[in-house]
Amino acid sequence: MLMWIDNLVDKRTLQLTTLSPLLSMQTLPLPSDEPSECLEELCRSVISAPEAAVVSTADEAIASLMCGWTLLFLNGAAGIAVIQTQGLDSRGIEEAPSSTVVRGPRDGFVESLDVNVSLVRRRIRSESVRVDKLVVGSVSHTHVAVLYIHDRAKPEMVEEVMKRIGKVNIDGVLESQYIEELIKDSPRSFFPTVYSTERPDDVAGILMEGRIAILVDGSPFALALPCTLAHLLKTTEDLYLAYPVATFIRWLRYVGFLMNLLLPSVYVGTLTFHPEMVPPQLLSSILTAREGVPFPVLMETLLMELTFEVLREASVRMPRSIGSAISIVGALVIGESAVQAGIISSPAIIVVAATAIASFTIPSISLSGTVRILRFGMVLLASMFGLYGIMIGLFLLGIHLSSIKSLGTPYLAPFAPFRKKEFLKMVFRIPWFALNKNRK
Amino acid sequence: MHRQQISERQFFFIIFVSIASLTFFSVPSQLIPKVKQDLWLSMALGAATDVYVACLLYRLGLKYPGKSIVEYSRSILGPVGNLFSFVVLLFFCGVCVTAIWIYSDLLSSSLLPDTPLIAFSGTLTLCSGWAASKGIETIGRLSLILGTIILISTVILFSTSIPIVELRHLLPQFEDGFGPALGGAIYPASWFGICILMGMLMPHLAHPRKTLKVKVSAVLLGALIMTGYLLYSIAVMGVHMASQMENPLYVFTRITKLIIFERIEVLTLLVFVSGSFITYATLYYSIALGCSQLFRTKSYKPWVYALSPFFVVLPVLSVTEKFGQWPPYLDFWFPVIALSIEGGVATLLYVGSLFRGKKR
Repeated sequence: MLMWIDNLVDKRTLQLTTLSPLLSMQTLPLPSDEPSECLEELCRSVISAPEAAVVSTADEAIASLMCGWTLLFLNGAAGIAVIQTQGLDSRGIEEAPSSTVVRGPRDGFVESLDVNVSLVRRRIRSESVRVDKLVVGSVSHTHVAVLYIHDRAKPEMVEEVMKRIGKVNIDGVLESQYIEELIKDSPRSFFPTVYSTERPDDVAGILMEGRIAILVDGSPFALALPCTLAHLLKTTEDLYLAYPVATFIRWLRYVGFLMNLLLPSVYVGTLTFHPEMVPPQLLSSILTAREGVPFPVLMETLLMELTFEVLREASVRMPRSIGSAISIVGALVIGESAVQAGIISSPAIIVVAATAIASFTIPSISLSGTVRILRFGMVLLASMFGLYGIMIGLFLLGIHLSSIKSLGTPYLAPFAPFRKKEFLKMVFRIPWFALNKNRK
Repeated sequence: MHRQQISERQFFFIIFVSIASLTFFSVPSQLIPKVKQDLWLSMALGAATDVYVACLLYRLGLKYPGKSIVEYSRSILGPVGNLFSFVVLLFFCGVCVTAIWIYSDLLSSSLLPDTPLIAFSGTLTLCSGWAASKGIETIGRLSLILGTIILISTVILFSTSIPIVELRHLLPQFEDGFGPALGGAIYPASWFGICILMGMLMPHLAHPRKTLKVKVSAVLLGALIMTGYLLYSIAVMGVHMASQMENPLYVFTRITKLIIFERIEVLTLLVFVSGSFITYATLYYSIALGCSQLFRTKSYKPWVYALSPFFVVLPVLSVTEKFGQWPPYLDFWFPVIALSIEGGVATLLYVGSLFRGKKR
């Protein structure tokens, strides 16, 4: 008897690899008289599916059935044959929407694990690439693949990743974020200690660096470990651009990160506690613009920051055609009207807008989200203690970042602890010819 | 208990940052009025005293590998050693309270005049206590970043101040002979000597044999840079004006101009405030670890929490009781006690270890 679930199997594969060979055997004698041996022989020499095996328990067979495999029962046999006839529909390969590039490959991961693995393997055609598969989720039975290059990745790191995934105890995994949260170091930290990407070329680069990637069936986001703060401020595109340009852009990104975190708090702290630091002409312009504004600097900044966050969230949730309209209405109409009505000063809008632009320079969505939250904390500290408050905030942040690790790698590496070679690679995009020379 | 490890570079920056920030807040008002333009000699002698203490602690550290000053005091002197350790830890606490008091006083008078002192001692204790509870690895990593910022900002400040420097203010040298410079050496020596906490950190170093070289380099660089700051402030303002100020280094940075920004003293102050956080965190960690070793508790962390109320309240009480206006404390008692403990304890322990070695 054959058993399969419609919609989960590829009917053509089922027909060609299982049904036709079995039907063609109707007139021939069975390969063996003993039913169990016969079932094994059928799997080995008759069924032409990519994978076919005999399992001994019903649980294993049902798990395979739910994955789109076909079951073959033979009267009197101790086991059940499972045949790979999976045929799930998947989205076509498209450009990754979360990380577009000006120059570089356009393909992004999709929701199919096999397609994603093939996208990575297409880039590193080496027998050293290892793909270890695990099943996670007591109800969802989600397939998870751990990818690494076995002679580059540290064995203890691979072992640790496998151990952490093996320990995951959850009903279902619907997205790689589930795995990320469950295996990350310092789970209470706001900072991402697992890198996520939608780009196969990014994952290929990660594997070449000796790091480990995790692909989860049903999610176009791959995870990578270890992940430090510097990794989150790097993009794959850096490697596709001319090295002086890539280095310049990388520095801009570091500046953008600091601006995103500190600009509103420096504005609040300086104007409230240390106006003497601002050059007189600039101070005069700011104070003139603030004349008649009913809110104190803190309220004004918080109000604008919150408005911007609401607009950002609205534009993400709205249908794309309306999203851009919302942005225009929010940014131009509300902003300009608020300034003209004297509710908000133009310097506050400039500060919030500059912060918003700076926030888009951070390539990692998770890191960008973390900085957005911390920015509010910094503004509150600045409103209490001025620049001293910002110093306190930065020190507390520094302690936290210095104390966390990602798979044993300190989060602030290669800056602290200082590792010269990696530091140079993080700060500058070393040209390929220089790397080649070093290798020689 | 798992022993955290720090690299030589991290140890270098911990010592450098400690010397720089302690000197920034404490030494100028003591040294400039008394020694004037000859202060470089006092600073050099202070550094030499610290190098002497470092040599003794280095030899002791190598003789008792993996042990801190609290642990080998017990090994060398038996129960009396515990008393020595207790005195050292008490001294560390005294240094912390004194330094927090000076720090809070300066911040209150120059940066945030309307903020109560307890806000400064509280935030400083919170930051350094949290860092201490995370361990020496965290402190070491952070010191790398902050030490680099101090170095870079110093280079920028010194370069941009060149146009306003008047070298004639540094002359004549030794107007009143060598006496004031020799006598004044006790101030930097007493503050530099805080680096006796090397005795607590040496067991955490990845390569203890390199400790002396690293420590001496850090002390020399710290002393050199801070001598530069002190001489710059005299060269820019003149001896008379610099002697009148509560913190001449702070006023010197106020005069300096950086591109279009004219009042950058707040930034300089904040750079050294961040350095102070590292210094107190290291001291705090050493005290808590020392207490756990002395009283044989499993973890040092409860000591971090237990000591925090003292560091928040005591500096503020000192001010309310006009302790700060009691000149003999900072001018006489603190340097004398500090030097006796820093130099005295190290020498006694070293001599004791020699006798112990002979007995064996």
